[in-house]
Amino acid sequence: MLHSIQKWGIRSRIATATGAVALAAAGIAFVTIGSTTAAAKSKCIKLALEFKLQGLPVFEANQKGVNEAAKAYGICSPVAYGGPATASATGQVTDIQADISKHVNVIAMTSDDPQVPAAALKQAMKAGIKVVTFDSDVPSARDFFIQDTAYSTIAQGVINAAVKAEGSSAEFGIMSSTPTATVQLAWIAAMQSYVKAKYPNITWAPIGYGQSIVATSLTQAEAMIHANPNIKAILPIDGAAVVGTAEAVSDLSDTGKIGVFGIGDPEPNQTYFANGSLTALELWNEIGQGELIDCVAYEAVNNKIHAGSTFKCAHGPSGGLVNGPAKWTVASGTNATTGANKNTIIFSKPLEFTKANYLKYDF
Amino acid sequence: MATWARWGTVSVAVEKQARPRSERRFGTDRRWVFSLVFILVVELLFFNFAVSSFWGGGWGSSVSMLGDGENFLFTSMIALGVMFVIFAGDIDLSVGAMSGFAGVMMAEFHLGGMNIWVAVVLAVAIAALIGLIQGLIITYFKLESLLVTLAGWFILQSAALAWEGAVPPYGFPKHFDSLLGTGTVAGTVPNQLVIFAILALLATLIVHRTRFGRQLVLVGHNRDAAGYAGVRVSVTRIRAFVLSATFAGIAGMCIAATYSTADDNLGPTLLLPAITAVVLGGVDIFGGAGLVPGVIVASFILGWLTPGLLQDGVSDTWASIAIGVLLLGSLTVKGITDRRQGVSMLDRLRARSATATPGAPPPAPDAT
Repeated sequence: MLHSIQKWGIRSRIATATGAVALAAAGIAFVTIGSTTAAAKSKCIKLALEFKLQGLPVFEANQKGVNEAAKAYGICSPVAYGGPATASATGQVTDIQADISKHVNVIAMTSDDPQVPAAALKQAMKAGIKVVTFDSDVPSARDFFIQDTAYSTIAQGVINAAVKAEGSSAEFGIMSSTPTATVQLAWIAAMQSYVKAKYPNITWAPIGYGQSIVATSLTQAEAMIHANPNIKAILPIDGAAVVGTAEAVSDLSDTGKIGVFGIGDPEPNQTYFANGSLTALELWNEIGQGELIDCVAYEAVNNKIHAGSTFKCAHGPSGGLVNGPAKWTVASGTNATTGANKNTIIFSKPLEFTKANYLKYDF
Repeated sequence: MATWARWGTVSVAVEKQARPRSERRFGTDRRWVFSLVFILVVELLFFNFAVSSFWGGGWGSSVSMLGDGENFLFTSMIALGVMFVIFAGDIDLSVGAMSGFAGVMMAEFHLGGMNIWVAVVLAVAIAALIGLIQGLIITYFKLESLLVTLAGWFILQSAALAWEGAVPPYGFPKHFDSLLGTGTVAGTVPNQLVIFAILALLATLIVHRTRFGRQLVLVGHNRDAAGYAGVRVSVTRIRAFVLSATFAGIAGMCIAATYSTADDNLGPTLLLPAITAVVLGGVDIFGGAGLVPGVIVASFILGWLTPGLLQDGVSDTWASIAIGVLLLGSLTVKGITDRRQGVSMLDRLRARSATATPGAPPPAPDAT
């Protein structure tokens, strides 16, 4: 025992102590960096934005919209970009708990999982925080949900674009993200029932799953093309799936033989619009959606909206809201066609991006 | 103090004569644990002043930063499990997926009509069995544990995904959610902390107080020497994989209870944080050295770091960078002090490659 203590030289003791102090200093430095951006005025509405993960162009467009309209709705700006570095439902829970302890007024989140954050969000609501979900819902624990667009409308948009180009008796295939992704499942169901009712001569190839990873989507799309030689159109319905599918079609020099019609944002796909491998994409205006988040946050904090009520965004969102209605309705019950349930606000009709207009949007 | 000293003497008894360095090695391990305790105290003191909700509704309240352990304690449990494997000089990359798979298994059993506690026991037992199979494959076919458990990760995550179908199972009995998840003992001590404390004590006793634990560390330190000394190397390694899978299975139950749902992708994100805790805790990534209390303390340092920084207004990105800096900085300091004591990472690497060199004496016949 004594032996080993003697071996512990004074130098290494100093090294250990110095190391510990250096680490503490590093910690303080980080905190200072963060604190300067988090400083907030007291009177404005404190909105916490929580995304599925960091760095997706669509979420950055949401954030841009939120910040553009923040001042008009009395929301403290700039609104920080929250969300785990990689998509992780447990990471979102940690963020929510931090938001609760920071006493924000509204949490606006798009969830990685329909169940996992429920307990934390209920805790937030109990603490008097309004919870607004958008894009991906946590149905059991939120005040309002902003649904991107009616499931039926966007599904019809994709199918109609594909039928217009490839005819109404062809083989189509869907490229999705994961087999459990809530929104994608709803879109698939809407597309399949629309086709069944309106275009009975369309056949389906088995659904491919790209796991929201471009490389996997590419492999899956190539597999789909090889396994189904008569396929006429592939319908990728997730951001990574669009890139992977369009890349697969251009790689296999199938441009012109196989059309790609999907749901996604135009900016990451400019190459494919330009080379013709991508025909049409449907989405909503992400910047406008960010502005609606502000508006709903404002209305919710002031208790102005409830199930069944209609509201206008009085201050007038500055630029976005393309195709947005003049007023919004808070759904009072479940609607099978649109996919809405109680306290859902449907944001807008889909926006169609083609070779003609894709350069106009930066998300 | 006396206990620590005893661990030291026992753990190196086998080769004390041949390798006087081991004595010093153990000294550096113990010192590392004290350094970690110091870092934890500094961290908590800092957050005590920096985070207004540090105490929140008091200890145990999930609003207080100190009480929200339910967000990381299951990661600590996974860390304790994978630690056994790392001690033996192997690695288990399947632990994250294993916890997710065990959760889905339990949920599907329960939703299929089974009593929840029977489902829990069965799911953990099956997880242990899968650990046993992985261990058998690794030792019998002499495959790298890294590759076998990587394959295990893919298989388990995909199996969980296939099993749960389009809607991951959710909604368990309230008493289950409370007992393994968010409940507290007498409103103050989180239940998960009690579960973790039991597992931590168990792990400490297994590694530092049992014959198996001694052999585990020796196998990790020098597999050939352990074989010559009559240790059943394969059996020891397989046991480590079973323990790893069992701990991951128990963690999976706690995850399911905390969120009242089971999902294939709840587990895998916990793998790297768990390994980070083991390495920061001072366990040699090549096996054969380290102390369990170090891992326990390190898992608390890391567990509180992210929520603490977030609640202080730091963004997620910076919080991740802080963890990287903490790991890199502390391991560098450890490397420097270890080298002063005559045991360097380079030595460990050399020792490892030496055992794999052709022409080295043939390993002792394995008693498996």
